[in-house]
Amino acid sequence: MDLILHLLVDGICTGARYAILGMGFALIFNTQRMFDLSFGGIYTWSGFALWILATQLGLEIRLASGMALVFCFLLSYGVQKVYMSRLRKRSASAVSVMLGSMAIMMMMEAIAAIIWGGEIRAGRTGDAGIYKWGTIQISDIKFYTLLAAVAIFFSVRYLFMKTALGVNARAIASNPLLSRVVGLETEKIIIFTTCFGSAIIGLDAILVCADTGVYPAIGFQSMLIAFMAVMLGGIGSFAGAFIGGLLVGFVRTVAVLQFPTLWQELVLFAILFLIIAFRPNGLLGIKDWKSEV
Amino acid sequence: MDYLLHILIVALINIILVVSFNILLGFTGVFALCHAAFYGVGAYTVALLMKSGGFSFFPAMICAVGLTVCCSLVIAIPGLRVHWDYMVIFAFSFQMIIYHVMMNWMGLTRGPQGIPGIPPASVFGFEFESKPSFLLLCLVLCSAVVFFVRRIETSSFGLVLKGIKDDEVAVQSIGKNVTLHKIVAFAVAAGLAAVAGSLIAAYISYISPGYFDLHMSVFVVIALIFGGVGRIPGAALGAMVLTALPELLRFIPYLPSTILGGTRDLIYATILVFFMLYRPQGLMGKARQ
Repeated sequence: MDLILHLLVDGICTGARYAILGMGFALIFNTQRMFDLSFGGIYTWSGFALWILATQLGLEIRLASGMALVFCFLLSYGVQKVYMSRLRKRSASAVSVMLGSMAIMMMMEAIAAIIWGGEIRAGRTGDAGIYKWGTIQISDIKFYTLLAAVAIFFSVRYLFMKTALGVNARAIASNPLLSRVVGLETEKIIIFTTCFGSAIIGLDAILVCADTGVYPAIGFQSMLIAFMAVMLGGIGSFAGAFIGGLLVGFVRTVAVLQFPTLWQELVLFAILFLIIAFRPNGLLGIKDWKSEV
Repeated sequence: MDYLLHILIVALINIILVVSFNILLGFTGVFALCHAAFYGVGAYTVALLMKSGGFSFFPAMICAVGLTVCCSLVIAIPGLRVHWDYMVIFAFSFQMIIYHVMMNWMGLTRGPQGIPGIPPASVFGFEFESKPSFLLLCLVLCSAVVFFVRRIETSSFGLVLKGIKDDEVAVQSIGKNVTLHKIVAFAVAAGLAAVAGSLIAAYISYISPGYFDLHMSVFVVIALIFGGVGRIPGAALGAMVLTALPELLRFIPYLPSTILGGTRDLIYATILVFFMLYRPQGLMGKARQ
């Protein structure tokens, strides 16, 4: 019983992490409706930024986290401005945007691997704080992750449903051409939402770096998880991305009960496979969106 | 000299892979990052049949192609019915599933240890054990594949595929079954990837999941884009250049072996970054109007 309770709590904490990833990717994907994968590289670099600031330069961890978050936003702004924006202007083809951004991700990960090697780098030295309620206990970082997931969910929903920027972004998602016709600066809005989404994803990288540590290929791993969260929950829906992320984390943790650890990943991919095969719109997805050719 | 032959053999095998992928991305415009999975299924089938089943090379290869085509249908039939966005993720997850099966099904694939001691290919008692003889075998099969793909390109089937790439609805409107054409193209590409897989298994006589991970799928895409999307000579050129390029790194002095992998990835990524921006159709590709 204790084990099950422990796994449940752990599942929810991991789920919260993945929910953050899912929401970040949903913010990017729901606005431009293209696979902009450059956030994978930004994930790696935000994690390493915290590691450098906190352990190499010896800054206080909260200050270092804040600086890493700013760095992450600026880095993603730079990537968007220098490369992705040009790519989108040159060719509107979704395949080339996906491949170009994938190349950026590979490049950033390869540079990180060349400079820092493949080892796992943790941003925090010393012991983790522990919160306790009865028999349940979670580390402070996991607690912050839970808080962050809920806060991001509500603020992103507010941003998208209530503010002018959010309305514009939704307009671009539903009809990019018409949005340009009525005078929206589509590129600016896309860049902003993508940077915002990347910053949310970078926040996850910072939390992970403080908790267990990052390595160059982690950006790619988190990209896969973000994919899964969004696909499971449903394209075009933030609540879907949130729930999808929670589910992915939950399944991944609880699958240990039924399956050997080695098959954990396979269970996830099998679920994703079945979802796309039988319910391509995901659990909460928008029904009419491009589900049929 | 031996080293040069080795690079040539690997390049020929990669040409088969990239040319077969060209049927998908180049002709049909279907983007699926799972070519290495088909390559791997082919290689593992041949390895197991030849080592444990006592098959000789060509029957094993035919079985591998059959099995891979069946695998490809499992994802093509549900995956190609939905929008291509889903197909991307679908193919992605298929690639990961195959990789995890190779890694974890200890009883069959021996997991990360791989399968050593695959016997060399032999046809009618003649063993292709030495490198020059194996090069000959690769050359024959590679030319056969290139010829076959060329025939597809010029056939009416190929024309429909190219039509699907340009305007799916238009092709549908003249009464062609778009989904069926896509599924057949997918199966053919997967089957040809299995041919490449059989060759690599018989050549290096040891396979492990590392050869067939997502990096390999990405390599195939980059090679095709480098050479020229939709053009068979381009695909062959891309495969040759990108196979040879990382080998040159070995000759750079003072380059520690620990960063070799990172440098190779960096080169591939840089090529892709610049090609997507300045020449998305590749070196030999034709610009689209």
